Order: sequence, then C-alpha cells, then structure tokens
Amino acid sequence: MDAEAQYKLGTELSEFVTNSQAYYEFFQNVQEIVTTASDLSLINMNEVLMDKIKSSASSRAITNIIFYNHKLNSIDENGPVSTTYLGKAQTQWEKKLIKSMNSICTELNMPLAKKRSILEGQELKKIWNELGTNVSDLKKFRPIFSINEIFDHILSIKCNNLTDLAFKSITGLISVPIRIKPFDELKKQYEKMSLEYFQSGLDENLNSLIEQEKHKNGIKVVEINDIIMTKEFSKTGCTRSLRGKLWAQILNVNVENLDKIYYNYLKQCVFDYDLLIDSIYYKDVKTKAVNDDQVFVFEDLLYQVLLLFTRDTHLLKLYENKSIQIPKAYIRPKNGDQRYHPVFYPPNGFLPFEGFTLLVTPICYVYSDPILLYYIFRKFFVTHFYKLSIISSDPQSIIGLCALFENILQSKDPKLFFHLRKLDIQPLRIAFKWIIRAFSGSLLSSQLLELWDRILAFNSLEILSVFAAGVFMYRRQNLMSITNKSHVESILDDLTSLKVVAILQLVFA
Amino acid sequence: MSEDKLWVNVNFDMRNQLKLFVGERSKTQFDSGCKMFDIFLKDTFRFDEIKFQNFYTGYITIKVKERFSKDTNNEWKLILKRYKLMANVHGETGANQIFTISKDMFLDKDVNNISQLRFILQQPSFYWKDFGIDDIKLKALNTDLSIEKVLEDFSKKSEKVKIKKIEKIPPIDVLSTRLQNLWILSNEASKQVKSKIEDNPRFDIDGCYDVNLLSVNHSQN
Repeated sequence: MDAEAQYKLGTELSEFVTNSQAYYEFFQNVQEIVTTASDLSLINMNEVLMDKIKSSASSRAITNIIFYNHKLNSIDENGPVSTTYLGKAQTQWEKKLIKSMNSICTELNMPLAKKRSILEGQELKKIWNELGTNVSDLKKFRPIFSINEIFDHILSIKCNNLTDLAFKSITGLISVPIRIKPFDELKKQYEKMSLEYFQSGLDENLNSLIEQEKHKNGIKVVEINDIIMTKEFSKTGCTRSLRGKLWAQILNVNVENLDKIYYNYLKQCVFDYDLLIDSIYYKDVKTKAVNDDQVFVFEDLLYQVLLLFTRDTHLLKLYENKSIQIPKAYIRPKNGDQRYHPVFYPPNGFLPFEGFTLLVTPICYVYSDPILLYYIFRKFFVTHFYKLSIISSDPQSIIGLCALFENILQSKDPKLFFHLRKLDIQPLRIAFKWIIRAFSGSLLSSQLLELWDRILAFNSLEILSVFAAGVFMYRRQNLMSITNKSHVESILDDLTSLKVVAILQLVFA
Repeated sequence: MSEDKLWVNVNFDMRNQLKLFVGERSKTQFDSGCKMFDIFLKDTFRFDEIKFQNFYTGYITIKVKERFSKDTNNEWKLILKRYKLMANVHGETGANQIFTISKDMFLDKDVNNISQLRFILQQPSFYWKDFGIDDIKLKALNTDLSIEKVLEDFSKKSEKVKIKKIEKIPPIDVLSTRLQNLWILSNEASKQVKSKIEDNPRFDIDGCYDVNLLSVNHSQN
C-alpha cells in the first residue's frame, strides 16, 4: 500500500468510527470515568484514563470496528485490471447477464421496475409477514443464469500468456494459472481442524464434560467481545446456543438505531417499487426452498430478506475500485427533465444465480429476528459470498476455489482423480454446484452450520474446496468401483449422511 | 492531498526491455528468464516513487547511477534487490497488478542527483510466454510546496469536515414508522456530511425508477 492509499484508508476509517454509535457510547463512557474515578487528578489523568479506557468494553467495540474494516479493505488490493484477460472475461460475463435480463424482460413484456400505486403498496404492507401468499403465476419466469452457465464460462477462460509447456501441464479443468496455496501451508492455517482439538459438531457425543467446559468458555468469549478471540474460539465450532452471538461478533454486526431506521426505509422501498427481479427471487425461493422439508418454514422470512437485499444500495460500494461494472439503465424522471439519467439496476447491483436463495436459508436457522437476520446476511454477502460469482484472480474467488479443489483432490488422492478422469468424469463439474452454493441444500442443516462456522472463523471460503475434496475422498471406495459415468451421480447425490467435521479432519490428517 | 499538488512527474527516456542471453547466442532456445533496461532522467534528477503495472514479472531489481559522484568509478548503487512482485511465480496473483515502490523501500536511501536507472526483471517460471513491466512513472515530491502550506491546507480541509454527533433516539419502533419521510429529508441534508446515511444513496431519481431495459453498452461512464 502506498502512502496515499494509507492516508485515504486512515481518514476513511476514522470518519467511519466517529460516525458510529459505538463511538458515541465510548465518548459517554469516558465522561463517566472522568466523573466517577476517585484516583484521578490532573497530574496522572493521562495514564489513569488510558488505563481505564483500554480495559473498557466500549473501547473494544471500537477496536473491533477498526479491525473488521481494515481487514475488509485490505483483501482485494489486487483485483483484476480491466485490460487483462480476467478483467475482459468478467466484462463479457456481465454483458451476458444483461442480455439475459433484457430478454426475460422483453419475453414477458414487463418493465424491469415500476412504481406501485399507493393502494398496491398498502396491500403489500398488510401481507408483509405472509408474502408467500402474494405469489401469482411464476411459471413464466426463469433464472437469470444457471450454475452450468457460469461454470462453462469459467472453463472458457484462457490465459494467452501461457507457454505450450505450461498449458500441457494443466491436468484439471481450470486453465487459469491461479496461485494455489500449497497443502502444507493450508494445513498449518487450519491447524485447529486437526484431530488434537475438541470439535463441536462431532466430539460432544464422546465427552460431555469437555463440551460443558467449552460452553462455559464460550459464554466468557461472548462477554469479552473481541473479534480475534471469538474467531479463535469458533475455529473448533460454535456451540449451538451461542452461534448467533458468535457469528454476529465475528461479522461485527451490531444493529444500531440507524440500522433499524434504514431497515424500515428499505421496506418502504419494497412498498414503493415493483421490480421484475422480485419475481425471479420469488421463483427461486419457491423452487429451491419451499420444496425442501428442512427449510420451507422460512419461506416468508426469505422473501423479506431478498426483497430488501435487492434494494440495498449499500452493496454498490463493494464493487468500487474493482473492474466490475454494475448493470445500468437510463430513465427520464417525471419532473419535466428531458434528459436521460443513469440508474443502477437492480439497486444493489447484483444479479443472482439460480439457487441464490440457498445462501440465505442456513442463516434463518440461527436468527429469528428479521432485522438482525438481514444485516447478518448482508455482511456475509459483502465479506464472502459475493466472491462466488465474480471472475477475479483473487484466490478466494470462484476460480481460485475451483482450482484449489482440483489441486487438493489430485494431490491427496491422485489415483481416484485419474480413475474418474479415465471414465470421462470431471470431479469439478460435480463439486462446482456444491461450492457456489456453499453446500447449502446438500447437507443436513446442523452439519451445514458447522461448515459455515469454519468459513467465518477462518475468514475464508477455502474450506468449501477442502470439504468438497474430502467428500470425494470419503466416498472413495464406491467411486473406485464404478465403471460407468452414470453411476457417479447416485454416489454423490445424497450428502445428508455426512459429518462435516469428520471429513475435514480426514483431509487434514 | 491532491496528487497534482504534492507530486510531480519526472520526465525520462526509456530503452527497450531486452532479454538477456548467455554469451552472444541469442538464437538458441535457452531462456534466461531475465530482462534488463535503462532509464535516463532528463530534467529532474531525483524521484521519490516509482509506479508501474506489472506484466508477469516475478522479481524486480533496481540500480541507480548518480550524476556527479565523488567516486571516480561511478558505480551502480543498488536500491531494490529481487523485490517480489508475484506471490508465486507460477500463479496469476500480482501478475497484472499496479505497484508503487516508494523511497522508504529503497535499500540505499541516500542517493541524489540520479542520472540513470537500471531495471532488472526476472521471471524464473517457464509458464509464461512473455513478461515485463508497463506504464512506468517516476514521481517526485513537490519541493516548492512547503510543509507549512501542506499542514495549513490540511487543517482547513479538516475544519470543513464536521464531526457529526449521533443522538440517541428513544423508543425506536415508534419513531421509525414516522421517520420514513425524515429519512429521505435527512438523506438530502446530509449530502455535505459524510455519514452512514450517505453511504447508502437512493436508487431512484426524484421518486422515479421506471426502468425498462438495461443498457448493453455499459462499459462507458
């Protein structure tokens, strides 16, 4: 980072902090200390105050904010430059999505967005908690893009600066030479996943005493509220009763008053405007969640989250400084202005893939308060999930995760990999749909949450690739015995019997 | 801190980036994975920052030559040695990134009156057809700008940014229903003050968001 960027980051961060409610509370706290502390005099004021401030909870809230935001800002420093082949591939992909969206719109002969009448808005407001009843005929809607489409697009990306020799040495499907972490490095990073540690989600059945101990520690950790400590604790899994609090701490989500107001504002936006993309989300919920006996109860919550999500312009910031173009449209306002003005569509700038809903459903298990649920999901998206559908050289983006999966499977079980390749089976083709949905919809919900605990605690999506490779290794015997391409589906179709932690341990062992 | 005030571009002439060979056998298949080129400064003989866009170069070494050296041999002085540009030379990360090498990173900070720079680029991986660096810019801190003036500007600027106090808002559920309209108003009002609210701009224009089709030609603007 150069001096200029550092300066910019510093001022942005301090502005962000001074505008937060935590800062206000911190200020009050200091004033309180000054008035109540008995050992305070003009001479020792500095030391005594500093001492007290350091150990206060309100100052920790501020360090958490700084830590979280600083870390967030430093992740994507080397996003793709738009002139490179990866940048071009991203642009191509965006154009494809826009075309798809436009063709849906013209096929149905519906506008992408229009204002609701006041009456319509009021009607919708009445049924806000039972939006599932609002759904009309959804047959005619289709997803903007399927998982196979983005998969094929990723496979088509070729680096034109590769020598023939390098090209021949690529054995997997991904031909983007992305840097893969060597397995040793990965193992070291995920040391807490080794067999030596007690893992929630697996070992509590063996030893209830340790489990109680862990729970007790968990309560302490929640109380202290220090991001780094919470993360360390969660690396071995969050205990079920504390999961909500721990997740909120890791993601640094505190619903403040302004957030509540903003939430209601977004709700009003739903009542004000009718978007075509809403119906696409509706359909996605209907086909992916309502048919699933584990998650159908969350139907109405899902609509609420997704409808607000489309209208939340907070997400636009995510795409700044990256070579990502947000879909645009031109409108002519009704105030007599004859010019066309650019607006983003949808307001949050994000076009979802088929099954996007599944990234929300697991969070519904953890939070019942719709406001908190919304902000947790939004934070999840801006820290992790947006990387699942952008093309970038970031090892955490979808291409990096795919390459990591292929690499782990090849190096940990080369025999299996080449057996499958001989039968013309591409392991990545199967694993891709797991990874892009972060395994949601494939696993038992309790197991899925264990996996997501680790995404948050290790602050990385890499665990998805590791786990995907683990699934193949776990089903090795069955896979090695197949002689026909068609059998592979039946072996890897149902993952509901899997224990996430056990499989992760298998890979790292 | 606007760039045009504090930084000035340094003009220079550049030679072609040449691949190095062992001996004179440039026609052989052997690839040294090493390139070299020189830069000659024209009018300003100092710089504080080097900026460039990488194109698959793994490591960079920079040497400088001074104009009036006391040393009669006038030897090259090393200011950067095998600086890593790609996290892994076989991987994409960093391969197309824009880098800034500032004076703090120089090995020998005590170099003045520089007339010539020598860049040595290395790419040990056989993966890549070609490598190099593009779009090189040398920048110098504007010495005409005294530190007093910078500080003065800065304090003027920071006065403008008022610290916004956040009042505690009592019974929130009651308030929030009424505050819908206020939200929009305050959104307008807070345009000068950077705040949480301004981070989430409104998506409609004067209450209009009648979108019919997306613009296909979206790379402009």
